[in-house]
Amino acid sequence: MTDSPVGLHEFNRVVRTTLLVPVTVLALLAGLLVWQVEQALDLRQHSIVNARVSDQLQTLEQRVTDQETSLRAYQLTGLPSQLVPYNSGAPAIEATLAQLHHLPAVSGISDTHVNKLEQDIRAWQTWASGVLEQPAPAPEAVTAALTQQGKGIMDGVHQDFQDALGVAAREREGYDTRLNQRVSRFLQFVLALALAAGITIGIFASSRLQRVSSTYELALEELQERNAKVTASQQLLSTTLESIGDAVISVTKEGKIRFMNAVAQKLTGWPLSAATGQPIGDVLRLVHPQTHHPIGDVLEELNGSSAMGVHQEGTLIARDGSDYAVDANLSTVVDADGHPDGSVVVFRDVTELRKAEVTLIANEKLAVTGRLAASIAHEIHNPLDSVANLHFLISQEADPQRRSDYLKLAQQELGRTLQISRAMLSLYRESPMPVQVNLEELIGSVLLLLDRKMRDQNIQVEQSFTHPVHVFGFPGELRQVFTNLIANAGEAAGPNGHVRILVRPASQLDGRAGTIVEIADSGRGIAPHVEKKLFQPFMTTKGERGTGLGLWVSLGIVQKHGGTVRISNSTEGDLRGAVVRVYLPERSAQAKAEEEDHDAPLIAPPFESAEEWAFTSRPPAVT
Amino acid sequence: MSRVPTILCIDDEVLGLEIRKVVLEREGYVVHTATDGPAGIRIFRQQPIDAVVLDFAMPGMNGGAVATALREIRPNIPILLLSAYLTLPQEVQQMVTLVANKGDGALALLRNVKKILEISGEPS
Repeated sequence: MTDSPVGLHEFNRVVRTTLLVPVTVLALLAGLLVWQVEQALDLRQHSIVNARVSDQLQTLEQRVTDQETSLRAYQLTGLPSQLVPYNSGAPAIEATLAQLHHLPAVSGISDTHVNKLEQDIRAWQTWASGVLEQPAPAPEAVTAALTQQGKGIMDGVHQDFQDALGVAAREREGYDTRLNQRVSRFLQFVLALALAAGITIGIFASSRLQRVSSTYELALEELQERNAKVTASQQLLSTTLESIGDAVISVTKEGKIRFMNAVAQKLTGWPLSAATGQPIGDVLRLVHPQTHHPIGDVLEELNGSSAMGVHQEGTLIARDGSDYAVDANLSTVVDADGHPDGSVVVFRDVTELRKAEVTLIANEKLAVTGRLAASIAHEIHNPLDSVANLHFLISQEADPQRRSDYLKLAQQELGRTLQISRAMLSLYRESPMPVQVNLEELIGSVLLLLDRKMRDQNIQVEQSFTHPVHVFGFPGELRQVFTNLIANAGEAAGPNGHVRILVRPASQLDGRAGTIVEIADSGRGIAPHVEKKLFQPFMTTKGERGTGLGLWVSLGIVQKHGGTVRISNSTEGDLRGAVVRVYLPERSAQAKAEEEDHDAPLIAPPFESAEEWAFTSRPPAVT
Repeated sequence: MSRVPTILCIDDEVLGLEIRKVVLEREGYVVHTATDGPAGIRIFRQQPIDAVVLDFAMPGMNGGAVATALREIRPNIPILLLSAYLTLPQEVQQMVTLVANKGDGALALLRNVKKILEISGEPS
């Protein structure tokens, strides 16, 4: 029983019974004591009343004796003055005799005794009256016989008194004995009861306390065990936090630093001791990678957003002024009740990653050229071949007309070569500022470079411009985008395939100023397993022939222009392949520059159809 | 060789093809031209051709495929393959007598044509 653990409810019950049992026992004892004391007091009262009756009897006897003495003295002296006590004592004797008829039962004196006594007293009074009625005798005439007669009666009276007092005394003695017995028995009883109660309470309380104590011991053990577990778990958490490669900062609801792991301390340059309690904005100083404008309080971004977290890229300015490119994730921490309890910022140094991206983007530019290299070589060598042959003919020709014709032809072919080389070089030559770009011209020059490639495969390329469209941007980069997308379409269409390029203003559809370039092909469309990964770097369906960076970089460039790229499979019309739609806003580059100043959100793209796949990974930041 | 050699030129570049024809005719060859592979094969079957000057990059049927078809008809026909590409697949190079780059000039063309005619003429 003592081993069974005690719950809080049970514990309260145990404490209650442990208190209640002694109180009840003591109350019972007290009740018993009061009853016994009352009993004893009754006996004592009886004894007192009895003693008072004895006093009355003795007083009465004294008075009767006084009357007798007074009468004797009168008899002996014959002086009436000797009768004063006799006469004055009579009323008191009468009153006492009347009282004797109402004696309490406890006196033990019966009516028989009282009646006998009264009778004898009356007999003596009658005799005394008889003596007094006769003329006062001479003292010497009082005979011994007369005296003897009175004395005889009086002896009877005394005897009655003795009897009554004896009865009362015996009765009183009985009371006293019973009182003594009762007191002594009661004392024994109380002693035994107190002993028993004490032992019972002791055993009971001890058992209860033992049980509580064992429970307490158990609870203590459990607490220690739990404490050890918590310590171990804290140790594990702390070790984990310190070992992971990401920087972790825990922030209070008020935005003050609560904790930083080693990586966070290293990146920010703030030791934990100095950072604790500091506002997050002072320790985690994020600025825009290009403009170097402060990104503001990172936590403000989190306010009002869901607990899923906010992604933030930027440059971290460390305490010593060094900077790192970082990717940060912010999320709200909720307590057990689901109330917000501060936030956690997890970030990592992506400086090397960004550098690698820059290299990748440069590589992709080269890859685009590589893609065109064969085509370009062909386009340049063909006119050059003609020019070389014409040069031979001119040198051999005597006829001026023919020489002139050959010269014109050579000029024409050289012009073609120049056009090709210019188109190629414009992929590289980039204006430092965004300029007005005629999309029709730009796509035309891209097609010029791709013409050979398309013709080799006998692919028909159809262009449609609804009206002249201009966008604001970087022509070299846009060439790269359309070279990629049109070459992709050609490769998807395959030999004898069909590619259609449709350029239309976006405002026709949705009121947004801008242009949509739609490139559709007659290929087989995009396979379901590829669709989710289209815009991921190194994703290619072309094996060794592709870098897998084309779409990824293209998206980066288009986003830099404030636009978007969407890809879907066409379900209607004569071309049932893939459809790539590039949206470019009218004055994107300028608008974007303004947005960066105001930290405004990106313009939402004007696409809303369901059958389209947007990018699923972060596009590179093309600068 | 008793008669004037007849050369078949196949190239989709019409202007280049015509200029090449003039260069070869000036040297004294009889020249037939075709702007794609199937047309060239047709002429090859109909005319007594001594050598073929073939462009590699052509829509539809490329130089390699044309050379294979021609060799199936006459396995010993000398073929000069002209290419704007710097490298060609090995199996294509084995299909022809000689490979030359476009843009080397008229003299190189004439030298190469003469060379393939001599190679084929030697055993006979």
